[in-house]
Amino acid sequence: MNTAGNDHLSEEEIVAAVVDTADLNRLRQRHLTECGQCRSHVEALTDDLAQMGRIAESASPAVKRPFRAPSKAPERNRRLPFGRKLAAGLAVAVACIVVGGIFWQNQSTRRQQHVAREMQEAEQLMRQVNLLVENPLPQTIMTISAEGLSAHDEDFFRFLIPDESREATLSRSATKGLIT
Amino acid sequence: MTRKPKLPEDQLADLVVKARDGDRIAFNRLVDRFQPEILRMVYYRVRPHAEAEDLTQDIFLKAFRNIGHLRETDRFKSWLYRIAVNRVRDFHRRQRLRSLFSSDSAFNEADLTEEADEADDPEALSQVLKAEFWHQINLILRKLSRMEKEVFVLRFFDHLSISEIAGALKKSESTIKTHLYRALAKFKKEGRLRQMLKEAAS
Repeated sequence: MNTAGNDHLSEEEIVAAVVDTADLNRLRQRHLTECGQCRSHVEALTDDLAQMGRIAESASPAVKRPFRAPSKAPERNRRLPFGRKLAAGLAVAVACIVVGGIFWQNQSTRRQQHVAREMQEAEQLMRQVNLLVENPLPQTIMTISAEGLSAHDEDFFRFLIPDESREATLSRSATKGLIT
Repeated sequence: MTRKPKLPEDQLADLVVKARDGDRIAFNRLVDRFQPEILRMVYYRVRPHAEAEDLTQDIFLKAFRNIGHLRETDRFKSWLYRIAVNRVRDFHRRQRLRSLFSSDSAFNEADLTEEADEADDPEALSQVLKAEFWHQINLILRKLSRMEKEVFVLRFFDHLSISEIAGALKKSESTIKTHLYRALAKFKKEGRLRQMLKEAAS
């Protein structure tokens, strides 16, 4: 586009002037008001466009069925406008993230608790297994079993089950008449 | 063509507010004011006339149902045209789905000549001239991109201002102007049509 005030308007400037004279810079606007030739170019184009609109309008039909609003009143503000929909959507998304986060955290804590409980149960089971390994008999059997005599000392056991060397010495002494 | 007298801006705004609040009479007055131009707008893009009438009814029904959500009451016209533009687009989309044949042009000259006798002011041009006029318009419109065509028709056939077009198409004013520059640069080269328009004016 020309910027100097003296030159005639270019083709682009004529088009720009038809669309909106304010789109020309101040110098060009002044030139347009002062130059009859440029003004006539702009007016010719404007007139052609206006004439085109008039002809189109003259070829259009008139309204045959005037619209009349139905008796049911429009439902006011039942649907949210886009901005509010967006805000509501964001709020729901944030709420979902927060709830999801809490849920995930709870799940994680619950998982940890579950693992701890399982470990506890495993330890308890191992204790029972160890107990069974140490004391395989039930308590009633234990009372009549040797296991129940664990309180007696070693001499009592030796008395009950003497060892072979002591048995042999005693039998030798008996044969010699030392023991009656 | 007899044009309904335009309502003063403050009266229009008052009617829009009342209509938004559920006043049917106010809405009907808005219909009286805007239905002829919405019908024309649809008619330029959709044929035949009966189809344009049906679509216009749809547009106003949609407007009535949604006017309660209109926030900027001073932008009622843009809002109404947006509904109309979307409804026309929807119509063309369905038409394309129905048929493999689709007319790229906004105007259908054959239908126009057929329906010329329905025109409100048949004396404006002779039938032959009208047919030639629409033929030339079609030639130009075929050279424009979809947006250039939309903006050009809204500006020079529907007589919307730049800001109203921006509101109707949900585009910035600078975008609208850019499309208009391009469309006008192409129109400016159409010597045949411009000659016709000058002859019709004289």
